Amino acid sequence: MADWGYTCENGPATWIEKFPEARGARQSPVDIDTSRISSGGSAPPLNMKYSVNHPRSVVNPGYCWRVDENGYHSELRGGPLGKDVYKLEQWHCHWGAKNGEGSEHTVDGRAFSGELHFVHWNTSKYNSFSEAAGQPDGLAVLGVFLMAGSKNEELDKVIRLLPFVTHKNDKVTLSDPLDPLKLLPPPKGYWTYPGSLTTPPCTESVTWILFKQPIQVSADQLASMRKLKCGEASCGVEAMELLYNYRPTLPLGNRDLRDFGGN
Amino acid sequence: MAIKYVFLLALACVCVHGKSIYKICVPAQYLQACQEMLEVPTKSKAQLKCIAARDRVECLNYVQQRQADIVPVDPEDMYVASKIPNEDFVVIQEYRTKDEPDAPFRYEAVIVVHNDLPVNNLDQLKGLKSCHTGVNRNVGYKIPLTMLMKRAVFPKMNDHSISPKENELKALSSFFSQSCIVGKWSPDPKTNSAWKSQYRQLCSLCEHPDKCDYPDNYSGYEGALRCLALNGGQVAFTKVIYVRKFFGLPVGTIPAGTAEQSPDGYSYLCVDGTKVPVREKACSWAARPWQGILAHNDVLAQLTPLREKIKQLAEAGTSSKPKWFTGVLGLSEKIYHVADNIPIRPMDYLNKANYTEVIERGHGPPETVVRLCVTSNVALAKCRAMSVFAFSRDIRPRLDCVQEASDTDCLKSVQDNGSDLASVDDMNVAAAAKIYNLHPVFHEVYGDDKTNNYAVAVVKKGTSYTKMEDLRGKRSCHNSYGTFSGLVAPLYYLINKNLIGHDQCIKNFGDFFSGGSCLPGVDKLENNPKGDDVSKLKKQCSDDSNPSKCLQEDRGDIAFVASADLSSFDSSKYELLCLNRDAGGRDSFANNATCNIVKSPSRTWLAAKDFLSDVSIAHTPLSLAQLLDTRTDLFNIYGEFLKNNNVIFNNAAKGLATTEKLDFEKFKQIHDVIKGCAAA
Repeated sequence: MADWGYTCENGPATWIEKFPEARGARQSPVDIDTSRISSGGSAPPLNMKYSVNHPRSVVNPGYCWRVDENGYHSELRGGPLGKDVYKLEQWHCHWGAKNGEGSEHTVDGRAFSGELHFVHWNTSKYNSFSEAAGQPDGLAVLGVFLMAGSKNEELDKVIRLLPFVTHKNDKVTLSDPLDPLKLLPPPKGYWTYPGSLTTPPCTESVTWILFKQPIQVSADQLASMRKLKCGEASCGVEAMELLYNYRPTLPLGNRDLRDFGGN
Repeated sequence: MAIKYVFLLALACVCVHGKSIYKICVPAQYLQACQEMLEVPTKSKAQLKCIAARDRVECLNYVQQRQADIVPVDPEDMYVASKIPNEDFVVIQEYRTKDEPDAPFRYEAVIVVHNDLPVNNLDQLKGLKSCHTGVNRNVGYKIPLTMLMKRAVFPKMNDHSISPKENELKALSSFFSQSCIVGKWSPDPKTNSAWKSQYRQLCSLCEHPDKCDYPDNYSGYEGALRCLALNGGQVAFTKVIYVRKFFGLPVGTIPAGTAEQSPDGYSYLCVDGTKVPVREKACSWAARPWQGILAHNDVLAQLTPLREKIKQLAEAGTSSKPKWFTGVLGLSEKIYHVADNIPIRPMDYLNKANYTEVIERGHGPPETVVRLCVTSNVALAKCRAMSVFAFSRDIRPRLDCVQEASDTDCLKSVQDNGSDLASVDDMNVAAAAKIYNLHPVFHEVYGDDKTNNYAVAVVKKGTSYTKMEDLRGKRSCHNSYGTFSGLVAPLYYLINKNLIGHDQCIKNFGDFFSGGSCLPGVDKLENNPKGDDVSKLKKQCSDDSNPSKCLQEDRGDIAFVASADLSSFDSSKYELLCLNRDAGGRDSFANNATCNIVKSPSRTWLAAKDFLSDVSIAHTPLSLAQLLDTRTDLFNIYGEFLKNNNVIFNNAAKGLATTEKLDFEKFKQIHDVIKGCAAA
């Protein structure tokens, strides 16, 4: 059995045994309680630049689908990130067994059907992703809620390839141009707070930036994600389907949850 | 440069003998009025040509596509126009009032308070008694909400367990101590009265708090000021021009008049918390721009003759106000001064007045949406057009559109929370609700009375039948097999009244009308897979199996049809049998709502349980239907759409109404009886 996963035996409740950081006071995800938010006031605008036309890899690491950016140029700066410039390393998705659940963060207790995470690392202070991943200001993750609804054409470039990465450690190349900006909602503001990776080792190194508005994906697209399997292809015994892969919310504690831009 | 100019000129208009021809787009219903307008003599030699479109929404597309050059619009339509891909619209003229021909905006929203109100910022409005024009109106409702919700002291409006509209009412009723906000709070009468009693303090400052509707002495632009001056109000939300009129101050071209109240005790409250006496220049917090004329960009090359022509037409129509004056040019009793503005893109025009923010107002993220499931590309296009249009008219939640391959996929999608609404026709409402665990929320209504269709029984005048028993052994004519009115309703009636047994019901049905019937389609393989003897039910059919023909040619004594079909019967020769009444009896066609067999299910929209309240789900479609009820010229959502029939709604529909639980229970009961008998 894998070290960790989302089943009874190895699910989020068991992570703390093997990954002590998962016990910390700066863990993610959290519930966004909109009545407790402090306004961020005026921050410099959030700025993203992504290369569109380069080969990417779509990978099944056994607990989600992930798109590796393979080191191509990108920039995330502004907003709550101070003067530092962050670079996109990979992006992946969390989902649930049925529509209406699956997002890791929740808003006033309400879950969405999924959540995309765009993981960036701080290139101004650190030399590599792995170095940054251990630092309190090492990572910045853009979170985008997914709502079941109309089909998302840009995301479909990835979804179309999921049948080819059904099993753990499967990997294919995505050569179509893809614009990550098209996967972000129209600029309607975001929430931000200091947190952690939501998968082991749950390192407390993430500045979270969660867009307030969800984007839509079709129910069929969500269904394709649930068909991924969390084990390797092996003789005879088929691995279990990855029906859901979200970590339940953890207390915000005394962390500052700020609101930037628009309603 | 010169070449480019000539090229633009050629695009903009067809020049005949040096005269320019401009194509003005009109909703089809005003085409004749438009032709009449062309007959009006003007000094300008510029020529107009009328281009008919389905409605104003289609006119916007026509102008963008160069099938027309100009269309008169409201500010909200400018918003819709700005959302059309690759648009290059410009606002080329504004429609202003004769009273204020120089005002930059149609109306500016202001807050009026008593001078001695101890307030120095907007947060302190909390707990006060407020006076408003009415629900959903611009300066008295939308604009205050848009501006107040930005402030931390204003209650949150993003509780997803209640609808966006109820969130607004709840927030207002907890922010202000008492208010007067009259009008229909919900398009559904039951919801409206439930909210009026739950949030009654929003009515307590009205003249008639129990009614809380128009007319009320403390509603409207002046009423809000009266509420402030005479009824204990502390803050009023209204517009500048009425403040000036109310306090007897000069307005634009109108000199000072008689005051309802002395202006000395009152001030405007500005956004920064300062006060300005009402005698001085107002500080406003947002404005609604003027209506105007939208054109595509090529028209700019040859603008002057067009502008002159429009101005001369407006002047020519001012005194008599013919149909084209309002229907075609979009001018009105008060608004008929046409002013040339510097051509400006519609979005910039709205932004100038801070009006985009008012149009786009939300309730706090994440915004609720209601997802309508459709099955064709043309329905998707219509759904998206309805979405933008409803959003521009402040109807929330926002409508979203989901496309699935088939009707059953849509029902499944609603069950799985992939969308919120899917439609079914006729008796499918009962079956679909059962299979997919859904329930009806609203349905189409028809005719001038905007009612359901009814299954009716038509008999010849002068015959003696008054109840169903009288027709045993007689002959019958029917709408075709499988229809509610032709088969389901009479069959259910006979079984339910124990006039026939419920085993082998089709056979028993034939035996009851032993004189022979015409039930078209009864012998089709799919309707009669076992090949039973159904000859009795075919006996009275001829080449034309239409039930009206069947009755006319005296092949039957009674015809079972839908109330919508009655127009094909001669009302001087036929009348209805009132099978819904215990005593039976007869009545004229006009009374089919009270004299029928039973109410028919119409196209109905189903929702799943639990995900979003029915009030939230139904609010957007019902509000849109209500808004367009008398304004099909804005968006005719029921007629033909891009040359397709019955897209989303049936062409014959005239409105939408909340489905009563009782009706649905009846349909389920009928469904179960018929299903039980068909299986036997």
